[in-house]
Amino acid sequence: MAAWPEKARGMPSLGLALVIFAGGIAAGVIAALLGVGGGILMVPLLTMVFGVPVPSAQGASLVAAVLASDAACLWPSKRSLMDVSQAWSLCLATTFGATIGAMVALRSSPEILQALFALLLIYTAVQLARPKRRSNEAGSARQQPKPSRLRLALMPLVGLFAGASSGLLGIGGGVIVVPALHLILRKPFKVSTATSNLIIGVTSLTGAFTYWLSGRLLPLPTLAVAAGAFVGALIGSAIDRRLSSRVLRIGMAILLTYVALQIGNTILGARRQMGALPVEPAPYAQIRGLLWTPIPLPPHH
Amino acid sequence: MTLPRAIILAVIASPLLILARDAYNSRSDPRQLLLALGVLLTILANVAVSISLR
Repeated sequence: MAAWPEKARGMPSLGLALVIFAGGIAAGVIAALLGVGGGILMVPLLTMVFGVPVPSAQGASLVAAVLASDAACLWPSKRSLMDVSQAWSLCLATTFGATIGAMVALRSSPEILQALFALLLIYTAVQLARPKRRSNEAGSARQQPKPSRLRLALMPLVGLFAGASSGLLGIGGGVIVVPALHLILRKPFKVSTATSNLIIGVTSLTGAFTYWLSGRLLPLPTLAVAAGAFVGALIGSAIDRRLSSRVLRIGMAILLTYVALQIGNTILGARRQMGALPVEPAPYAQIRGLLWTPIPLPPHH
Repeated sequence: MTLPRAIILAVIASPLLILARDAYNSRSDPRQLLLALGVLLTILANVAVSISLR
C-alpha cells in the first residue's frame, strides 16, 4: 500500500478523517441531487487540499460514488423514481463505450473530440437552463408516456457515448446520462437523476475494483470520503423531494458549464506545455488558478 | 488481507446486492431479467480481465 503522509499538515489522523468526511458529505449531496458520481468534487478535494496522490484520490472517489449510489438506492422516494429497465440497458452500453473511449484516447490525440464535447456540454447546459413550455416533471418512471421508437433507439448510442466520454476524458457518465434521459427520452428530471444514480453504482464498481486490486487505495481517505458520500447521498435523497426540478436543472447546467470550462482549461494547458500557445499573462493565470484550484490548507492546519 | 481493505472490498461489491435484488424482483419480466444478468456478466468479465491483467 502506498504511503500517505497522514500527518503532513500537522493534523492528527482522526481530525483529517473528519474533515475529509465533511467534504464527502458535500460531494454526496450533489451526487444524489444531480445524478452524478461526485468525482469532480472529490478528486480535487483529496489531491489539492489533503495531498492524497492522484491515483489514490481517483480510486477513493470511485468507491465513494459506489456508496453514494447505494444510499440513493436505499432511499425509498428516490428508489421509486428509478427506471430500472432503462438503467440496465444503459449500463451495458456504457461499459462497452468506456472501452472504446479508452482505446481512442490511447491511440490518438483527442483534443478536437474534447473541444467538441465541451461545446456539446455548453449546448446541453443552455437547454437545461431554459424554462420549459410544457412540463413533464410529475410522476414516477412508470407513469410517464412511452417515448417514440426513434428516441428509444438512440439510447444505446447515448450509453456508448457516455461510456466513451468517460474513457476519453476521465469524467463520469452522469453528466451525459442525466441530460440524455431528460432531453432525449423526455423523462422527468428527477427520474433522470435517480436512474443515473443507479447506473453510476454499477459502472463505478469495476473501476473501483481495479484500484483496490492495484493496492493504490489508501484506507483512511477512502473510507472517510466514502462514508461521507454515503451520508451526503442520504441527505441529498431526502431533500430531493423538496427541491423543484427547475432548481435541479439549473444546478446541472452550472455543473456542465464547469466541466466544459475545465476541459477547455485542460486543452489550453496541454497546448501551452507543448509551446503551441504563448505563455499567458500572470493575471489570467492567477484567475484560472483560483477557478480550478481549491485553496490549499495553510501548513499549520 | 487487512480489515480496512476487506471493508473497502465489501463496499465496492455492494451494488451486486442491489443488482441481485432487482434481478429477483423482475423474475416475471424476462427482458429485465436478461438485462440484469447481462450487466452482472459484464461486471464479472471486467473483474476477471482486471485480475488476469494484474
